[in-house]
Amino acid sequence: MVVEVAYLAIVPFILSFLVLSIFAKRLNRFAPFISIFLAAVSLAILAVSFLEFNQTIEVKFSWLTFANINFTIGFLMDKLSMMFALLVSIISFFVLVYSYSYMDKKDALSRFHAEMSLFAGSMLGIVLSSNFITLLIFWEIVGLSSYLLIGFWHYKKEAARAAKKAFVIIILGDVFMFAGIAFLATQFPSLDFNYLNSNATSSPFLTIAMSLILVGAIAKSAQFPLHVWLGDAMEGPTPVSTLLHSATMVKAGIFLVARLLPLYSLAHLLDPIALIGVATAFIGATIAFSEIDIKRVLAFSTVSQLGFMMLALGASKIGASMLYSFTQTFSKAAIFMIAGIIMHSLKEQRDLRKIRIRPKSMIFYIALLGMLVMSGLPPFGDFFGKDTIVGSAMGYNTLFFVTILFTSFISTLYISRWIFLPLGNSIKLKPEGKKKHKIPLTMLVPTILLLVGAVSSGFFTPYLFHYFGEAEEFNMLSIVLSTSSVVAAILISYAVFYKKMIKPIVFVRSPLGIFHKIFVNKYWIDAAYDKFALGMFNFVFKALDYIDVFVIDRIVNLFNPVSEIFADTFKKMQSGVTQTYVVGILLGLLLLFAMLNADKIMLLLGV
Amino acid sequence: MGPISLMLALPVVTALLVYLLPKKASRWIAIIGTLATLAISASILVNFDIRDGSFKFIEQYKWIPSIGASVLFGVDGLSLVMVLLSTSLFFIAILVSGSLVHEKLKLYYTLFLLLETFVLGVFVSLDLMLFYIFWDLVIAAMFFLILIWGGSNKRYASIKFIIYTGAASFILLLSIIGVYMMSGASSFDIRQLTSAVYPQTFGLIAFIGLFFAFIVKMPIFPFHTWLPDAHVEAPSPASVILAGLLLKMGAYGLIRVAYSMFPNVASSLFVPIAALAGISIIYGAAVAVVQKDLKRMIAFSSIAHMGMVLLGIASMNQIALTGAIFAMFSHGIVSAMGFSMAGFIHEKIGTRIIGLFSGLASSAPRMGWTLLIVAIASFGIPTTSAFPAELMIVMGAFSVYGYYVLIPIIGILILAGGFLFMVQKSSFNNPSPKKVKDMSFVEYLPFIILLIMLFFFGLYPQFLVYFIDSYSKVASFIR
Repeated sequence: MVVEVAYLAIVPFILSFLVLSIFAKRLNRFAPFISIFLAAVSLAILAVSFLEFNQTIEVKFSWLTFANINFTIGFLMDKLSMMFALLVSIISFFVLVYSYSYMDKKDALSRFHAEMSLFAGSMLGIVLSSNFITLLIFWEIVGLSSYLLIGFWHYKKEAARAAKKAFVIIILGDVFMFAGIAFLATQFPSLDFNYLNSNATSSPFLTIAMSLILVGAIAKSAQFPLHVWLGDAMEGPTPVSTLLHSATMVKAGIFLVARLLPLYSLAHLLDPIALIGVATAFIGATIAFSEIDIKRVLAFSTVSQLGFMMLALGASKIGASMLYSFTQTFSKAAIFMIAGIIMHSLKEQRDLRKIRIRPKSMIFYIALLGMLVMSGLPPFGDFFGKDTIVGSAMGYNTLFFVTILFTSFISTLYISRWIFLPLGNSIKLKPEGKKKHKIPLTMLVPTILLLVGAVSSGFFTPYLFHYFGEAEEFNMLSIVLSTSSVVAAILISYAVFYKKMIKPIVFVRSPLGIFHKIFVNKYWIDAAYDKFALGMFNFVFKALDYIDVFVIDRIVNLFNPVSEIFADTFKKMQSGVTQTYVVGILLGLLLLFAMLNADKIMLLLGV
Repeated sequence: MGPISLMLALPVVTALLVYLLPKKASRWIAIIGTLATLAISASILVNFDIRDGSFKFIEQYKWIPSIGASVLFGVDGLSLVMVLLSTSLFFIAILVSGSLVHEKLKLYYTLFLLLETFVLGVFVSLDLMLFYIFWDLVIAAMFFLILIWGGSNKRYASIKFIIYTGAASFILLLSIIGVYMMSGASSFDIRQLTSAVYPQTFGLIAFIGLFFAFIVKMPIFPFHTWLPDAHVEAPSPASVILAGLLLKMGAYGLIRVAYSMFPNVASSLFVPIAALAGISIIYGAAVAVVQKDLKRMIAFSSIAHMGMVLLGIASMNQIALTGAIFAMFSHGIVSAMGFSMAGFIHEKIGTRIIGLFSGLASSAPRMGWTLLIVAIASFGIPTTSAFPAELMIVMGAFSVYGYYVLIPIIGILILAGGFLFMVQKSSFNNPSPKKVKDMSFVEYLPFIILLIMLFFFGLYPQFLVYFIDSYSKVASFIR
């Protein structure tokens, strides 16, 4: 039975990382083949075990045992983890294949593939882990490898900045999560998810600890107010964005909350989670709508979609959340690959106003299909994913339902704008380089396969719900509302951005322009962090440094005169006069005598 | 002669050989000598029985019978871990010295080897008088290392070092004499002094005296200002020993002497001590972040890390104490890497000022990537040895201090941000136009050893915890 050792699927990735980073120079040319081969091995292990899978399997290894601590490295193969693990390995494999042509031969290929493997392997570790310790270990490695990958082109100023920003926020989450886990470890004999989910009881302690852990999940899954890193994170190579936005990294937070849903319910944190989700969905969608960078639109759309999933989790609709997570994995991976193909042919041009897609070209059809899939039209995958969430919000909270329905409308607007804008570009933009850019096969095939996945993923809906033991809930009203909003949005977008029947600038200049200003400035959240928070810390730290040198150290140096006086006084003892020395010796002896007979003297003095 | 005295004698004999034989051979003799010492400490480790917490390999020789001072050696779990750290770091420091120290080699290696014996002596002495003598010898040897082989401002730094820590060790001497007088025991045997009963008021005074003497060495805010100066001026191998071992002597003394002898006083002061630890962590981290000199930055981060150690000790429970000792060991590895790397950066580039060199990851991959590992180990990313240490300390401290533990955790966060910015500037960004020659394999060898240690103890903390726990489960001040 392969399924019993399914966790070993992590090993090929780690192996790839180790081999490629140790022998980086020598293997540079072969790096893609090594990493793709090992990813295929991992995929094979997981595919076979997914087919074999019929019951939950848990494997444990002792890690640290003493006092009342009993930490294990444990892996859990259950429905949730098997689904996620399979997705991770499929997407990783495709992305690695895709990156073969995408990455320039001059790039440090060893490093790229080593880091990608570490990224994918540690993400597998997250989804397969059965307890908090194991999770935390892989969790932080995911953060680290994402930092390295986002900053892969570290000579680019923007990329370096983005990597730093991402890692600082991720570490912020990680550190709080670390604290939450350490706190939990003091109160429970075991940190196994299954044990905690069934044995924990509501208490203020649980609420605090779980909120701390939630901060980690929020940071990783780019939820408001820690979403700011994801928009910049697309400075990394496109294969990285593809992996990061679809199956790995950002899904870690969603996965964690899904895994711990019973605990979060006990900790009374479901409503805050739903609130965070709906806020993130709205903020992400509106920012995406005002972006003009081909990848940033997609990045903020990820933020928004993750908000949808969070909302569903907050409404305890794990099936709906997982369904969207499943369909979005394919559609997001596909659309990022499409963006990558477009950029790749235009020398990394990312400005939507400067990109022109030739109608009726190969890439046009692919991109159009990608847009339709993302927009949530039936019968594509995202329709099922998004609409079950909108439907579940309906029964949960009316305000949330209205907001999410509106967000869904904006989502379609931004994604259709994403394709209509470059299509309708009137300026004579000719693609640089060769007249007709041929799409490399290794890029095209993964894209098309993932697109096929995205188109058909909806058919797995009943299966997925059955998988998670939930009944399918389809609310006719919400489906009608949301589908009609999708159609309306596409039509509006077509009219405005392609046909230019109304110039967008009209909106900007109208009183509605205030919203445009808000969206373009990303609600000033980034600016607040950059200017206010960083500036404040910098000021405080510099002040402390000043105090250290000019106050604390000065106080110490004040003792200088003391020692000088001391020295001046006692140097007179070194007179060279024998008599003085003799007196000194005698006094010393007397003191020694007194010390040795201290008890008797004390007795004499009556102490 | 038992294994401990053999271990102590070996560096002295090697030092003698270095002094007598030609200069060319100095380095190799020193390497072989420290390696042999490491081997002896490893053999002690292998033969160590972890089942009970008593002292093992005890050796006793007559010294000053009239006052009850004797040459008394022995190791328990705590000493053993420190001994292992010392012998490893001295081996590393000697390896590093080969590339970084260029003048007066004979004297240098002689002094360095003597320093090894002194440091080991501190960790294995069971006689408080002997402990004190080794303690002072360490200060003296380090003083000369800074004074002779230091940087441009070496006179100021070395004299500050010796006066500051000398003043502290004067207080230590007074406290030791006081303890000896009041204990009613007729020897300086630490075991007897620990089990003695002391009057309450005296206990408070003696504890404060000892506590002060030890936290100056650790160092803990506000008695830390000697450290950055000493580090900046000291030659890098001496910095390795200074941060890796001398600071640990402070923490070791705190555990072995101050806390063990006066558990009740320590327990009544558990809030102010933790506050001091908390301030050290936040303060050390915050000041580290804005430093321009790489060495100064690592020096300040050491203050934060030792604050973490103090927090673990102050919690006075088995888990936190184990974490604290683990953190001492882990910080020894990390700071050794950091300071050696700072030394190599200075050697290869000619500056240590953060921002004046960049893109090391591409121009000098060995240096650039190792610097990244130093950074992530400094804030305890899992798989590095700092992670289990932090985990244990936070767990143990939480059960005593509750949610206040979040305050020092903020310190870790600050440190993380700071190190990240440093690494971003130095390892990444655009490579500076000046060509940088990367370290050769031989130069890099000590780092490979350190990396193996870092990840081995991070992935398999149980190995070290076996030994540490054999001490911490029987430590007299565990509540």
